[in-house]
Amino acid sequence: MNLRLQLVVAVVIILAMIYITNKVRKKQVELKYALLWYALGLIYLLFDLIPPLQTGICQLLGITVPINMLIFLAIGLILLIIFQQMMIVSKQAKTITRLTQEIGILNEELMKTREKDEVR
Amino acid sequence: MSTDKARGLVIIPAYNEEGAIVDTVKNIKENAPTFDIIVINDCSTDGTKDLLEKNDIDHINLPMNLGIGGAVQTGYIYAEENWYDIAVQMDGDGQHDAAYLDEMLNRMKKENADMVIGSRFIENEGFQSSGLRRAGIGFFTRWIRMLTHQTVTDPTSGMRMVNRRVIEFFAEYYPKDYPEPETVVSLLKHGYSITEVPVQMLARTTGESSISMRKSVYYMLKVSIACLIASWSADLSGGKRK
Repeated sequence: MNLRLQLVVAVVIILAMIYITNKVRKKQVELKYALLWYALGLIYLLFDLIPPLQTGICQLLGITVPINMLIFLAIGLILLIIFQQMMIVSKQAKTITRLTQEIGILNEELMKTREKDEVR
Repeated sequence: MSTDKARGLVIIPAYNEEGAIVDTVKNIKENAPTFDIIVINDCSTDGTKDLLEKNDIDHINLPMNLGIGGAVQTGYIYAEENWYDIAVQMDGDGQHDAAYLDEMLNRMKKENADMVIGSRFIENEGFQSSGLRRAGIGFFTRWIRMLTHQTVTDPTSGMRMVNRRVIEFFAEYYPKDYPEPETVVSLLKHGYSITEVPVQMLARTTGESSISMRKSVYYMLKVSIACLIASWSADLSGGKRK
């Protein structure tokens, strides 16, 4: 990986990290979920800025071009993040279902109580 | 409390059933007057809600559409919160005849069963549904026999009576869609007993089955896997009755 590519990658990562941090600051993203992105950014930055690390792992995995390894790594981490989101969505679906059911039941009870009051 | 004074609730999930819901409820009031009725209006977009109000039928309006599983479970939560001893689940499209409820209740008491299913395939009378669908149901019967070593002839039947223990079981967990076969496996594996009573069902008069041809492959796959996972899950938790 040449210096120019290294710099471009580093700048993009740092900008992305700043963007995410800003979102956390504005309470638009929960820090809990931002952490995985920070980890991704940090790992990327390390690989980008320490070429021996690149070549070492590339040799270990039999990858010839370092940038391919970064892409491979990115896809792996993205899958991880998608899975994490799927778990969050599943949990929320469960919560919403239970809330909907309770609201329905409470509403019915409220109507019944009101009817009784009117009779009185 | 003696079982003769047991309080029973009929749960009717309804999504866009304006064509049949009033007659369905009327049929239950005539044939099973001792049962209370609660219709779960699953955020219908037709006139179901107005009809329920106009005819003074007890109902719960869900503020969002939850699908069949979520709607039926609402009924079980309601039954749990209001201390019902028995709950019956029936479709809102007039396919099920409440005349069988007495027999189902008798069988439940006699055999001390936790669930009684109204089955189309014991005497094979009445509306039998299409050949392909029957083949699908037959497959589930064999699948469930493999998993639980017990035979349920109509595991997809939506006409089911359960006791207090199962009400509590369902209030806690009930599958979202195509719930029937999965719950059968789950109950059997947790040591609950299921028995079946022969019933005749009618062809639906209005509305459409929730399972179209297009979805049937997905349906078969999803339900098969759901049964398998329910079976494993019960094995892992020791299969003990709660």
